Amino acid sequence: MTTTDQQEADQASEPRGEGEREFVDFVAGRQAALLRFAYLVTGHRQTAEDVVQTALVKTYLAWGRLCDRGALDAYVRRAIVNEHINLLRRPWKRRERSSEALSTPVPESGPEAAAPEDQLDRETKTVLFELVRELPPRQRAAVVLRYYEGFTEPQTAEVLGCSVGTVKSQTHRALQVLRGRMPEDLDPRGGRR
Amino acid sequence: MSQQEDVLERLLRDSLEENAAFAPVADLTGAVVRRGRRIRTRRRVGATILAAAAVATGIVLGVTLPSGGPQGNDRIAIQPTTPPGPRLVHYPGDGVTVTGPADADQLHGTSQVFRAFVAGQVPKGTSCSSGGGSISVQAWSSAGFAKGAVNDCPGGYVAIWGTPHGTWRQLIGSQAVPTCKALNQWSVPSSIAGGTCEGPAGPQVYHQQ
Repeated sequence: MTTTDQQEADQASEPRGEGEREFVDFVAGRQAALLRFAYLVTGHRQTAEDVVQTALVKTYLAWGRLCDRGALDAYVRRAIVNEHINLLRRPWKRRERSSEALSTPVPESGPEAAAPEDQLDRETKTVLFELVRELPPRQRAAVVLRYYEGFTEPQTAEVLGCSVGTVKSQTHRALQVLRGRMPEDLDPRGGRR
Repeated sequence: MSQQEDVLERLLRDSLEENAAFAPVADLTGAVVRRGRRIRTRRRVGATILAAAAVATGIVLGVTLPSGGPQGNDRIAIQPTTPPGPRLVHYPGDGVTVTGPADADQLHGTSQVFRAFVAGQVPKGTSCSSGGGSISVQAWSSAGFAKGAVNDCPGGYVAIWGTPHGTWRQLIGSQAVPTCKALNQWSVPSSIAGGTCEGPAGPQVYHQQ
């Protein structure tokens, strides 16, 4: 493709006028859901904002080429997952260690503390989320799409750009890891349960 | 799926839902659109600069270009043309002599496809005492025409090559001045064929854009 061709293709694909209004409406309507999804995938609020912003800018630049508006959400989610993986590949990011506090603090025991059963569930869920954050990015994305977004395996495969078989194996491996890493006293299979 | 696994999956679902239950404070719309517009502008400026650089390079090449080829210090004159007109390359003297693919790389200013074609056209298995034959390319046009001499042993002829159907082939091969009929048949431009052709009544002026 020549420079002129590329320029023409860019001009044709970016939103202008009505297209830009449509894009702004899309972002306004979907950004909260996308930020939550990105937070679960990345495990960090700031990183989530960064990857969502980058994914949306890519969507902005490709807006004219995205004819199937019904597939927009999947497109942005895929961009979020890919951007997060790219981010983790950067050398400075590989050396970085997470220091973000738990977003759901475990309540202290007291008169108003929850019933022991609820307390155990809360602790288990907190630990589970920490374990999810330690999963490899693609496994984490598969788990979030399947268990948070409630996507089917084919829908998850579409977002991740892989086969249904890969989704199954990624999810299976992730669950195996989570079961294996759960502290014994919180393990839903036994312990204090 | 066992009941224990169901418990884990339920807790996992709840855990994800609880952790994602926050109201994002940032409104990314403005930032996204601004960043998108900035990138778009940068791309356009970059593309314009590239296009301008390409045109400038073409003009500089059009003035002089050292051949570095078999012709030693001879210089190749490339006539600058205003786009979208075809680009014309004239090699001085007898042209650039090609005996194989390495020599074909000396055909500065021509396309890679043409160089490969010329390298493949070099006569082989001749009776020359000095070895194989050669081709001397004298002119080439980006419109898809070229002129040169095929030096075979014994003999040789002047050839005009063209791309009538998209691929290079020999259109005319003659030891005499090419006929006006043949030149007109292939619409060979006079910038390649020269200003004279052999008509029914003798040599005549030839002009073809």
